[in-house]
Amino acid sequence: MTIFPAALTFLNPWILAATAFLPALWFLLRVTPPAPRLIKFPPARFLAGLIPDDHESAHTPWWILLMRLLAAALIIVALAQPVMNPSETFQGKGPLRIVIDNGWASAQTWDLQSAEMETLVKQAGRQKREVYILTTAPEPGKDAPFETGPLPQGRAESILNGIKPQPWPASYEAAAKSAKKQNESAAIDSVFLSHGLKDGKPDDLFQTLQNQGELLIVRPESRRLPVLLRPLKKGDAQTGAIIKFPPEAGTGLPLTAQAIGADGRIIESKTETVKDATRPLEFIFDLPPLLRSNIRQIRVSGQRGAGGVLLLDDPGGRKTVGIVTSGSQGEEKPLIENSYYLRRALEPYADIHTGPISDILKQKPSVVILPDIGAMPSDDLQALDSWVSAGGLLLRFAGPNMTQADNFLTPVPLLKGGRAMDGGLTWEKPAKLKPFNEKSPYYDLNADESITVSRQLLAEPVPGIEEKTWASLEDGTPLITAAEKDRGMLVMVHTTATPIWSDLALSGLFIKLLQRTVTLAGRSATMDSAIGVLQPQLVMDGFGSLSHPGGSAQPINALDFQTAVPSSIHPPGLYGRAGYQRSLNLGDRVAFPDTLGNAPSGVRENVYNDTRETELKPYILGAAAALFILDWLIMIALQAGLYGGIRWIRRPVAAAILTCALFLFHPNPAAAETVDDSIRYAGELHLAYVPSGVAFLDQTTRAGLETLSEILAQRTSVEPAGIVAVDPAQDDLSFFPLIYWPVYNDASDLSPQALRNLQYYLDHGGTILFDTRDKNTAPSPETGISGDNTAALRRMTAGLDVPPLIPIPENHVISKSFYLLHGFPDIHDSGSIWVEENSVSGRDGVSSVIVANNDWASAWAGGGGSNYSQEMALRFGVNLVMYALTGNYKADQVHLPHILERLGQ
Amino acid sequence: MIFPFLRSRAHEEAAALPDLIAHAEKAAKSVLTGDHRQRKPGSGEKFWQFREYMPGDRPQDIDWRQSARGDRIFVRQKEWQTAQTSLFWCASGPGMSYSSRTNIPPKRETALVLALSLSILMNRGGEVTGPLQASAQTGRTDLSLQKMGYALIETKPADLPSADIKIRRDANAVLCGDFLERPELIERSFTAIASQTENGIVFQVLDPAELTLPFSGNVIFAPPEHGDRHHIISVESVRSAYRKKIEDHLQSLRDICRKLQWPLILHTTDRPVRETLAAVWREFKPEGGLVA
Repeated sequence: MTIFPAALTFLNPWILAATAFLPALWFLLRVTPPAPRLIKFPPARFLAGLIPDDHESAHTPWWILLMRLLAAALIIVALAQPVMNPSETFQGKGPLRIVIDNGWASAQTWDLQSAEMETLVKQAGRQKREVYILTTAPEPGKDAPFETGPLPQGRAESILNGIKPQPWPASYEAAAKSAKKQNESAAIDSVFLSHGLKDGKPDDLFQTLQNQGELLIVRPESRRLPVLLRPLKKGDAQTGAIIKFPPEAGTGLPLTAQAIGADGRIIESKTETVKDATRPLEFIFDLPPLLRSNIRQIRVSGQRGAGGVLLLDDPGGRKTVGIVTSGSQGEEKPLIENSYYLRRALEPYADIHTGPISDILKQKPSVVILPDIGAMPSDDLQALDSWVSAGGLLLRFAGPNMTQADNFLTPVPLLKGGRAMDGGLTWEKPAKLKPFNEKSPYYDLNADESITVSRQLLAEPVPGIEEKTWASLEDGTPLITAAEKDRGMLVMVHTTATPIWSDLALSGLFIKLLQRTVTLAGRSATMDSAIGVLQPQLVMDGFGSLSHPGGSAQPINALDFQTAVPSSIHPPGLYGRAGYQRSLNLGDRVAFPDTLGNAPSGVRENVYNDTRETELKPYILGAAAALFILDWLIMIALQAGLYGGIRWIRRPVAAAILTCALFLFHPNPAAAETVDDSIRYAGELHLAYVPSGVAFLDQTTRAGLETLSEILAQRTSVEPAGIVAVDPAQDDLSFFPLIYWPVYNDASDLSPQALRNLQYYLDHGGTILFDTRDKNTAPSPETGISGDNTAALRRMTAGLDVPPLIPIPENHVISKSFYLLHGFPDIHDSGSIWVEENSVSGRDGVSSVIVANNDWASAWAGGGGSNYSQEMALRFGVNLVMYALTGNYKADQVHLPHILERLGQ
Repeated sequence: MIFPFLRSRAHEEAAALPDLIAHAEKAAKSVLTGDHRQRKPGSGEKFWQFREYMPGDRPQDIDWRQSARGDRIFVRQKEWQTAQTSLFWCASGPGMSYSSRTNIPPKRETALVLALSLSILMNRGGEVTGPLQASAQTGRTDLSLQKMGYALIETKPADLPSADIKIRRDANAVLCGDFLERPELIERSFTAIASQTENGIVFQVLDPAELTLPFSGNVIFAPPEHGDRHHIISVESVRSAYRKKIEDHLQSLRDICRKLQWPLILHTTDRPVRETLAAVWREFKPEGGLVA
């Protein structure tokens, strides 16, 4: 990478002359001292009538002066519009043409090209030049590339933002034609933003551009030249790709190829470094077949663009398989029925449908399996026959039903009656498999010796039967036969898909055989003789992402597909029809272009510069503003007095800053929990409360809970880590064993979500202390719970399913869970506490809801007046938390004698 | 103004001086209490008389040497020596609230700590202490210390002890303040006290800024409550003149105290109180006596 020295230019250098006035400013500032500050000083009396040592006038400290001067200088510099790394300017008066080479390769250098575009347009704007725009790749669906002009800077910018790389090769001829059209008036200077490769023959275009004015060609440095992903050699059974790169890129360049699955997952990623610049890199993905069959595309990691993507044909992907079941629609009987074994074998590799033939054919399957079916209605047979002829694969299994059957849709004629090799009336032994011969599609599979076949259907020994045999038994009788039928294929397994006739169905080979057979489906249909058209199904954009085709993508005649080249009407992508897809890849169809050679004589050349032109004005102005603010702060500090007086302003300032910080960082006391919060809440005990939204009430609540948690930490082993305001509608309440809920009059109703959360919380062991805080109002006759807020509580919790509550009994566990409390003294003697009558089992006797009206939080915070009442309230609080945490532990009779003893003291 | 933990801090100041306590107790026994003989038996150091043992006497008081001479058992009695009373006064004028920096305590706080810790030390040495304003509230217990603390804090703001205080002749007056008033006023106040008791000690508590005038630039100086403001354009330029003036004031205060034969101790608030306490004990060694 070439590093250009960072250069700085001023666009309005004459403004810098204003710096000459800075010394004047110095004097001006110097004689204006800061205002005197007031200091309260007890021995002020002694300062009366003192005669100063010298008569020096008060002056601004030199460092403040320097700072102000610096700020002034910065403003002057900023007004002069300094520009960092100014790009090479195209001097001239006439319009400027930006030619963007936006063929497939440009996606990989697009960042460089678009940055250059931006710089050029800005420059043209500064020089008041109009802009022409020309691209080289044809527009989608058209022959001609995009061109426009002349435009002012603003319009040109917005149009350039819309220009994107195209996924097909450029057409320099068409671009040259368009360029000729643009030359109407004066000469046009052109900048050709190349991607570095010669995507065709650009000489004509260069000639045209040069004829019309000056030409500058900008190209990427050699290490950033585009690469092209090509498929492996035809007929290579492996899955992989070749990355072609220009030899100029040199050695040492690391390249990564990724195999991507149908779901977009990266299945495998391989990185290799270029060792020989002239030889392309080969990547082979050596994967288990199941994974390999899942690969849908291979990409060059980090390279955008159609050239870095290779879509794979659908070689052995998931096929749709129909298993024909005999009439009965009932549940499949395991271990007995054919479809059970077939389903188990194929399920991981194929989508399976079962049912009668007519239903299955509607699913457009690639494979239809007929297990042990000897006859079928003639219209079904007709449909099946035409389906096979049209390219389907029919896989038949023999069975008892077929022994008397007609020879319909079999690869070879069958003999009537089966051959039994095992049984009471035969002395033959069950036959073993013969290894698969080389012509069989199963040739690389291992014929397991332990597999035996005891019964089979025999094929009539007709001529040519050997070619049709894919597998046979030791004695040479065919076990699997196959034949093509028009564009389809018939495959016959001469034994059952169940273990009745053979234990083939129990072996691993069975799965492999089926899988292999299913992958063969559709092969005949892909033959080049296929007729019809292939519709674009997914097409690539210039950056290599797949999307559904727009109107411009046109179908390709199946006969021409093999030779089709991606173009503006045939963008690369997947083409095909239902059940059959082929990929049109750039790497497949386009030769790797040469690197853009030396420019013709008289043409200037340049390399994309990574350092972008930066306007420094905003930064410098920002710095000046910061200096002014600093100066202002210092002035305030000086006014207040650095020595002594400052502490008079420090508190209010600190308070103000704190307030601002609070506003900034706690915009909402019950802001929704984040994951971090959840982790924190789960890690340590937090006391929670539901904020009312009334600031004073919430402060009191918080203060009360803070005091309580301090007391808990001091006196008990419960050490709450903090106080949390929770919003029942949003937050996960399950972290908090106890939630304190102060109720106030105007509390809004709970949302259904909040009610659901609360109900869940209560049902799963949570405890809520509702505090109606209205002990002073008269009890209502019907409930015994007093007050206004009780109505609010009643309204809020109307949707909650809470067991009946009773006034707390004298000997309730809360009275002895930590402190032994005699009754529940509190700041207001008329207070009452209500708990569940019978706690649901599984809650360890803890009441899910406790309703109190004592304004506990305020009592804990010390709002009750005397230390005694606060202490008693805190003791109740400690007991309450203990109760919520430990349940009925202290109610246990085991402790009774001990408790009695202590009570007696 | 609130002084949190004043008493505990006074205790801390006193407790942080283990060697000082030993010193103090020695001094208390030999100096403070020894000089005030009551010519009757009591708790003291000096022998007073032998007396026949009576039930209730402590066995360790028996003088065995004397008892061995005859059949009777004698108890050695010592002369009863009374404790000295020290009366404390702390300045509480508005100027006492001044502190030049946040990490320096206000002068009043320092003065209170100084007075209380001195009182604690004296109590330990057996002396009786109390506030100057209410000299009846003397004692040597924790309660009396508490009372004195309240009396010192909850007093009317005053820069100098008022001249019409009635105090006991033999009491020892301990005066803490900044004493930045005009020397004539100080002299009048001190002389009024000296006319009632000849024993006195003066602690002048000053903020370091009041001695050095460390400010700079353009400043208006104002007394804390009311009075003339003084605008100084450049504080640097008058600093040396100010220092000279304050030095003159200190000198005149020293002259007043010398005339009354009262020791004068200067304490600046940036120094720890215990340093001054230690200096006090060093200066008034048992031989010399705290009381002139």
